[in-house]
Amino acid sequence: MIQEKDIPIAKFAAPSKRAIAKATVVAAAIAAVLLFAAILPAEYGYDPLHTGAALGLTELSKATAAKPDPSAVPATTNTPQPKIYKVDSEDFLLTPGQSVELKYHMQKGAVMVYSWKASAKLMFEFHGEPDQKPNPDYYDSYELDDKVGKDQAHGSFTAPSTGIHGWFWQNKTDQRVEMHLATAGFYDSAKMFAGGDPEDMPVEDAK
Amino acid sequence: MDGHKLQKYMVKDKIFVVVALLAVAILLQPAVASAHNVSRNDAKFVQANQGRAMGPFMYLGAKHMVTGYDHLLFLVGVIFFLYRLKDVVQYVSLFTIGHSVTLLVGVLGGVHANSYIIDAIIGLSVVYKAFDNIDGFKRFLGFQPNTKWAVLIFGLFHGFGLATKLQEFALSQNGLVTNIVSFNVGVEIGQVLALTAVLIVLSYWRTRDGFLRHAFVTNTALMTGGFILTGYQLAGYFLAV
Repeated sequence: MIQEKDIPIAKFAAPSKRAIAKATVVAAAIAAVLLFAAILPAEYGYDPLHTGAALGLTELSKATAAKPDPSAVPATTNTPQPKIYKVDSEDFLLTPGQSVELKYHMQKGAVMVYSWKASAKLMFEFHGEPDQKPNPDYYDSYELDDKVGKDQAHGSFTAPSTGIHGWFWQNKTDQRVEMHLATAGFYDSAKMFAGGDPEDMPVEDAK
Repeated sequence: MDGHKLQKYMVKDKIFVVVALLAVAILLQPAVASAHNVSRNDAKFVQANQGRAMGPFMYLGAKHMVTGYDHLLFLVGVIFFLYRLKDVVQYVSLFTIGHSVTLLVGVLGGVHANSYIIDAIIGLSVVYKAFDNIDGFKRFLGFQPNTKWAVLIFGLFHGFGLATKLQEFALSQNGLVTNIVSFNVGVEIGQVLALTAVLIVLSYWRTRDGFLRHAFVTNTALMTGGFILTGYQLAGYFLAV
């Protein structure tokens, strides 16, 4: 069924051996130059001619290397806990300019998962205060967005110290913003700060 | 043709060479970044998917073909000198049979191969076809290896390339056959779309008297592209972590 005679017709005048050899060498040479001068430095950080560094291309390969691989799973860790984990959800309504803060008391190494969603962007800072503070104003910042803000965030958190850990949100829009927070984790209590004295919020055992 | 005119043609030829090489370089930029890689979000979908999903897998197959420059460069080489639609259909069918067989056998049979090596061979298929097009084999070997067998055999490697990429994701066993077949159907749809575009350009170009004159240079540029793909994949085999 496969016939040699079916080969295509109507071509250029048959090129000479010399021309074909030249074309092949030129093709390979151009490929080699592009590969060694630009592509390999940019893609793999392999830069034998130092052109990648000169053109700033090796940065690309570093950026690629640093990109977290979504399929990579960190080493498995299991941290048994003595008590059942808690769940909590809160709804807030923030008037323009108003702010609220909600923090959970956690032991060092305890884990919590969280999701919050708002009807518009809120400025926020996810931060914590250790029980043992070097000075009264001390705190650790985990995530800060006071420029653009976000209307949602989700994640898992491992407490770096025993203390209270949570969010400060502020409504910088000119409208009322509704916000919903849901968490689950090994915390023992929650506190809300909305201007006056901190208020204890009930948290429930997981069912 | 008088001397003045000849000179004008030579200048035009040089400009054409530069444009052709630039075009190859530009085409290869995304190719180098994305040839054969199912993009990140698509990968997430493939991994999260459970059960049958004909539409999405067909779409992914078509997208892969339309944006997979290695397959396209090879097909451009294959149909470059095919003037009759009957020939185009015949050769493309052989390519389709080739890559469908290895895609299905590779994924369903769990045949694993190193994707860098497979992709390097796919790059070489482009070099092979371009070299064939400039009569390289005829001149240096004294005969032209059967072009249909070549398309069929290289088609097998192209399908293996598709298979190794899909295998990098943990495909759900649930509805696997349906999904792979859908992906394959999508690949053919994408191939028809891409070929239509290539054929329109080639047909128009063939009506111009510059076609045969530039065919040699164009195939040289095609060969350059093939060498780049090959080198890129071989380097990946040796350098990538």
